[in-house]
Amino acid sequence: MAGVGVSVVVNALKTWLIPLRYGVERWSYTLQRVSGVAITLYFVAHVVETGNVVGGAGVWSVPPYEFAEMVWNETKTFLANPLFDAGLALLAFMIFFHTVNGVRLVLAHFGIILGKPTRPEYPYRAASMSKAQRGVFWLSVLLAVAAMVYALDVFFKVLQL
Amino acid sequence: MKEKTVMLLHYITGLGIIVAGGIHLATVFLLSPYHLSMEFDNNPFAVLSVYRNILLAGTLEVLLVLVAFHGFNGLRVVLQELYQGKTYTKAVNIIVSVVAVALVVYGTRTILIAHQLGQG
Amino acid sequence: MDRGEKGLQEVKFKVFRYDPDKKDGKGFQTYTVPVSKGMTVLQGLMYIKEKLDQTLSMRFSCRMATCGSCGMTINGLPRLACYTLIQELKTRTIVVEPLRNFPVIKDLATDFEEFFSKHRSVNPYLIRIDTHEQEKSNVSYTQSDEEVEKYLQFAYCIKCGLCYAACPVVATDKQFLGPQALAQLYRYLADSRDEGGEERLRPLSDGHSLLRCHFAASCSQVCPKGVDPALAIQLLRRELFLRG
Repeated sequence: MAGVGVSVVVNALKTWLIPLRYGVERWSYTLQRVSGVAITLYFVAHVVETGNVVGGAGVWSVPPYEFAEMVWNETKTFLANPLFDAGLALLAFMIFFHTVNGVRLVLAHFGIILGKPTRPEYPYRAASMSKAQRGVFWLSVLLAVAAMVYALDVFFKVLQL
Repeated sequence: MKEKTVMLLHYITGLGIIVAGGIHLATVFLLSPYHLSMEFDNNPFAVLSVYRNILLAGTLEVLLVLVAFHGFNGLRVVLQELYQGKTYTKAVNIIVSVVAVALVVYGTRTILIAHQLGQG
Repeated sequence: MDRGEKGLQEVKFKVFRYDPDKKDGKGFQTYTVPVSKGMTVLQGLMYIKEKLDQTLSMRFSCRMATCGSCGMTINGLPRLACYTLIQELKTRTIVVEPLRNFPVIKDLATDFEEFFSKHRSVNPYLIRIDTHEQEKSNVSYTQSDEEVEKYLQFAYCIKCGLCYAACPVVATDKQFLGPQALAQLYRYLADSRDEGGEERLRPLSDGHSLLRCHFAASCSQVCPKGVDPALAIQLLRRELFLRG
């Protein structure tokens, strides 16, 4: 039983995480999935962490101002770690990719940026891989890289902008 | 709820997050330098100042609900694609909803208390 | 240049073997096949079967990409063996495996039962409200060029199963109808002669049949007939959301 479970998970991860050989849409599928799960996990951590603004998980009524400030400053010291900052920069990439690519997917699901059905005369290019929607995919990658560079600059002062 | 409606809501919440999340990111990164936004409470864009402002606090609450729905529905879809079975599907639906609601409750608590704390 | 010419003369076929009657039946076997210009992978496999190893099982029929029998995974991608030139692959070793997402019967032959039952489940025929007319009619339905254009592309499907093998959703979700069946569903929905309408759309509003498609477009990438199932599925989803 456990063996079956493991093989199901391994098979799934193989097909989800290895987008090779199939073109950019398969990459978008993998990246969208990975970034979505990563952002959701970050969201959980973020909600828990910002709970420290009012003094942490045990606080359910308005706490003393100084206590909350102290807990928040402790949290800030804990979070001042280059590893977390690097993670946030990666997250910036994921958020921007997921957002713009997500808009592309919503548009595609309503058939908006796709081509029309035509007779496939060779050399043939599938209308589902229209220039418009490929363009939005690359735009999402571009914006994601820009966001990551911006985040790296904010956290590590690389560019000195 | 029909799965079709859930997926429509998934798209709508996604688009909503662009607006609410955009405001959230703008207050933290664009309107004031990041290190000032992380201060507790001594500038107009410090953490507590954001919660003090009823509009910004409201945006955070909206964002909380939208991301909780969108994110955990996405997680649910991924988990349901992993394996199919009546008990499994039901268990995934319940666990995912419970965690999402718990997170919304916890986040709402933070926003409400921080808003009152800001009134001082 | 010289090496390239030599590469043309001989190619290694690494073929997946599986015999359900033997215990340690799974594994790869390598054959050396002489190659001539314009030779297809299917011809290479037929050479193996005729001259080297009669026990090799595969399914093929027309040798001209019309019957859709010889779908197999060639160098990692689902392709029709009869439609893939050995030269085009540009490798000295050709890895041939059965199609993914299909249960293997023996060697390269796969079981299409589930695939066909999904195809049947979408009612792949014209539905008319007037059943008498549907069974007995001898009037012909006229269609304009534009009306034909709306579905003609999707009618080219030969049910070879390549899209089904390429789909990352089918790989894990057996309740997902798959690109082939959904494309056929849209082909009849978009047909101006069909009156199935909502009846066709209703079963799709559950979670698994249609909505698990995430537009990885691998189906359209591998389709040998230019059917573009990814486009059909997106247009079908649009119909489901807007009028289903």
